[in-house]
Amino acid sequence: MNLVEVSHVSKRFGRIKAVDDLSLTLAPGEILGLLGANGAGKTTLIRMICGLIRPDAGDIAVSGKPGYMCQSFSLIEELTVPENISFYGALYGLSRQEVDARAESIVRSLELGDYCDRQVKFLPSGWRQALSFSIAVIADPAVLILDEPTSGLDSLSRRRMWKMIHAKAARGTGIIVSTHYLDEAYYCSRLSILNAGREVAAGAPDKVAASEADLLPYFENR
Amino acid sequence: MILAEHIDKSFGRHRALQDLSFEVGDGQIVALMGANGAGKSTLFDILATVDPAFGGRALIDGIDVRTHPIEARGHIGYVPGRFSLYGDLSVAENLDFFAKAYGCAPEGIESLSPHLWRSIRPFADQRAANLSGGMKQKLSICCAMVHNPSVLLLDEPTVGVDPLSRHDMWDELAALRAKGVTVLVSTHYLDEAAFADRILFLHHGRKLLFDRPDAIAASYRHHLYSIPCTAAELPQIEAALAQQEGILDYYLWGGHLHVATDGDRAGTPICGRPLQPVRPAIEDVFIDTLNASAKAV
Repeated sequence: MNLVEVSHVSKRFGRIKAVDDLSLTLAPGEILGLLGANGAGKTTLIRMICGLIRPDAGDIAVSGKPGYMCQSFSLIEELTVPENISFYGALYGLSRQEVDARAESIVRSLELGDYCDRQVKFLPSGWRQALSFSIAVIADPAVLILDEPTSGLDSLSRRRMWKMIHAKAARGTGIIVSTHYLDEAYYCSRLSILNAGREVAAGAPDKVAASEADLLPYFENR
Repeated sequence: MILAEHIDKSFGRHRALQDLSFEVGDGQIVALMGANGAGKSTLFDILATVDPAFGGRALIDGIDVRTHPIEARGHIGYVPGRFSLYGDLSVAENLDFFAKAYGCAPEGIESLSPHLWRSIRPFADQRAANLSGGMKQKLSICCAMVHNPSVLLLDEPTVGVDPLSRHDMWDELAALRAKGVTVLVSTHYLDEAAFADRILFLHHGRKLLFDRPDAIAASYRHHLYSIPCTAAELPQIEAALAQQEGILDYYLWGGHLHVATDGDRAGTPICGRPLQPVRPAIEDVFIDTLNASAKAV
C-alpha cells in the first residue's frame, strides 16, 4: 500500500506553472529524492503534499499527518532545546508524559552538552538541523517530508543527517527529500527529477544517471 | 586586497577567532572552509565593517575597516549568510534600492553579473520574500555587486542554489577575478572550493590550512579506497568492514563508499568487492581533519 499518492496535480502562481500534471507515489521504507533547478516546483509539490497549499487540479492522498521539515526550519529562536521540543510536541498532539520522554531521548541522542539549556539561536547550524529533524519525527509519522535538510551543513553534519534519514526509512517510514547535493541523489532509493513543474526523469538513482555529472543536464532550462 | 593581521574575537568565554592572519591578493579567489561554527561568518562580519569589536587589524584595499568603515564599504560587496534583502520590495526594486544607496545605476548589473541576472530577470516583479531560496541567493549576489566593488565577501552564497546555477556563479567569479576583483567566499560544496586559488580552512576559530586546492588534497595522510555501495547495502558492508583490521573510517560518497585505512589494503575484498585505490579529494581531507579533532577532544 502506498503512503502517498499524487495524481495529475497542477498548481499555478499567476503566469507561472509551478507544478504541471505531476503524479508520484511513496511506499513504506522508501526514500524518494526530489531533484531539480531552483523554481522547478519541488517546494510547491512538497507544500501541497503537506496540505499547506491546495492544488488547482488533481488529487493527493497521504496516510496520516506527515512530519515536515521545511527549508527555513522553524525553530523558535528564543526558546531552549527542551522548550522547542515541548512546544512542537504539544502541537503534534502528544501528551505531557510523551513529550517529556521524547525530549529526554532527543537531547541524549543529539549530544548537545552545554547547548541544551541555551536559546536555540546560539546552536550551530548542524545541530539546529538535527534538532529540526528530531522535531519533525516527534509524533512518529508514517510519512516524513524533508525540504533541503542538508542545505548549509558541513560534510560531517550532512552525513550525520543522512544516517538519521536512513535509520527512519529502515523502520518503515516513507520519506520524501529534496536536495541540491548531487552525491545525495545516490543515498535515495528512488529519484524524481523535476523541470518546469514536470517530471523529466524517475527511477533508481543509478538507472537515472550513472554518475553525478550525468545528472546535470536535467537542470537545464526547458 | 584583503589583509587580516592577528584577528581575535570572543563572545563571552567563547573564542570565535584566534590570532587569525592571512592575505588575499588582488584578483585572487580564496575559498573559506570549516565546520558549522568554525568562525566563518564572524570573520565576514569583521571584514565587512559590520562588527568593529575585535582584536588585531583588518585592511580592505589598504583601508582599515575599524577606523575607516565608510570608506572601506565603497570597496566591498557583501553577501551575508542570512537573508538581508527587503522582502516587501520586488526583485527590481531591491536592485534599484541598493544601486541608489551606492550612487550607481541598477542597469549595470546586466554586464557585471550576466548569468545570474538572466536567471532572476523573469521574477523582476515578484516580491523578494516570495522567491525560492536559490533565487533569493542569486538576487543577494546581484545586489552586492551592483556598485562594481573590488572586494567581494560572499558568505555561503550557494546555499540552496541548484547545481547548474552554482556553476554559472563560479563562471562569473572567474570572470571577475580576470578583471582583478578579489573574492573571499565560504562554501560547504567542496567541489566549488577546488575552483579557488587557495583554500583557507578554519577550525575552532584558528587557521588550520591555507594552501592551493591540489596541495590540500595531496596532504591526505591515510590510504584511501572506494567500493560501489548503495545506502541499502551499507549495513551488510559495514558488518564486513568490522571484520577487517586497520580500517580508520568509512563514509558514503555518492554511489560509493570511501574507506580510509592505515596501511596498503588495495584489492582486499569487502562483500566480494575489491578495495580500489582512489585519489583523495578536498572533502576527504576535510572529513579526516574534523574526525581527528573530534577524537582529540
